[in-house]
Amino acid sequence: MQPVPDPTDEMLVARVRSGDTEAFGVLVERYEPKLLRYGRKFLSTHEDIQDVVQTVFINAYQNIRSFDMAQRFSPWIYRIAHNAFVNSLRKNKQSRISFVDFDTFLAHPVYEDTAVKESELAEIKEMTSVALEKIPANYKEVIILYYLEEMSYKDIAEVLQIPTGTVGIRLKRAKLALKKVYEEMNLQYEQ
Amino acid sequence: MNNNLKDSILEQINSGDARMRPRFYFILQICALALVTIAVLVLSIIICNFIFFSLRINGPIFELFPWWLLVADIALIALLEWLLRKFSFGYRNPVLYVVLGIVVIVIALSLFIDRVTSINDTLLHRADAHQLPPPFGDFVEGARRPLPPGSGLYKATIVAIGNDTLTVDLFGTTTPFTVLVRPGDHIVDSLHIGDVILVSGRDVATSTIHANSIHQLPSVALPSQE
Repeated sequence: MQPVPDPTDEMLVARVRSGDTEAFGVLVERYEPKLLRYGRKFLSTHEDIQDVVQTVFINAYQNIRSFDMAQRFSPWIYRIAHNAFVNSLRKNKQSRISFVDFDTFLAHPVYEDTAVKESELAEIKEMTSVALEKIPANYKEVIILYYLEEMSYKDIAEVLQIPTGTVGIRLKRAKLALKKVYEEMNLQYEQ
Repeated sequence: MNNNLKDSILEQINSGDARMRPRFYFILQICALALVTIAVLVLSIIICNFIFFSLRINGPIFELFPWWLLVADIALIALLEWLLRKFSFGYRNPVLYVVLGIVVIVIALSLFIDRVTSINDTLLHRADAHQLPPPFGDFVEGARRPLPPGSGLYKATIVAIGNDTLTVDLFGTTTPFTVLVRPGDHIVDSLHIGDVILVSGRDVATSTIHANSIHQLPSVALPSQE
């Protein structure tokens, strides 16, 4: 007998909407470790991160009927998480996220090279933890979402609500900023 | 995996502390946002239309341009761009494209209202006849910008046309004035008795103006005599 495939996130959302709270429990199980890991890049205290993640899930449940079933669930919940962590940072006055986003003013071409991404992935993951704290918040976001959460440009654009071309240009600038930090820290960063 | 978090969340859901918002809540939200966006767009068009109307009846004179209205309209366009970013077509496109799109739409509709329809002229006639309620009537009459004293600008109605002279009734006076037109200025060829003009020039003698430039204005540039 063939194993029953796990329901997709979107199938679970449909069940939640029709009143199946256990289906929402499954979504919590799937996304809790990811959102906790994502939150570690914004906040330092585990209790603070857990509080925000709980708020994220509650907000997601309350607003589940606003989710567009034609879209993917992952960018949607990451969008809620992103807003929650940014608000938490602003409350603690730790944020360097600017209200005016000059990267979104003009169109930028989109070049997403998945082969390059694979080769860079291991190296970036190894060296980013320390250096990430030293680069601007909007650069840190795209590095985390692309290399650590392994999202596509399109998904990152939905999370951050910016044009897809802006994701590419911001990632390029983020890598340059990281390189500069590594040089200052006398670490080797091979392109 | 931390079961405490999952259990805490499910407990809040099952106890009713956390509830799904109904679909019509989000529909209302989108409708409200759409209404506000449309209201801001309409206001921006009204102000832009007023700017073009003011330019038409006052002439392209720097001192008479309603700069404060332009600042207000720019602020409205910035607000409109911010509102449109709440919709997916707003944030998926670069800011510059969205702003350019808004500016093109606002300018196109404003020009259409002022240059193709007679709405503005009709409203100004009614304002002159005190047929519009006070704040609105005053606003419409405000399109006729007062000429700065000593600016060398004169609004007048032509009563006679000579070779290089015009006899005019200056707005605000009863004495006919003579306007000396610059030799070679062919605007005189297109003027007729009864036309309203804006003269830029200097007094060279009592009741005589040496004109540097003459702009023809629409008849509503001066108050109607109803």
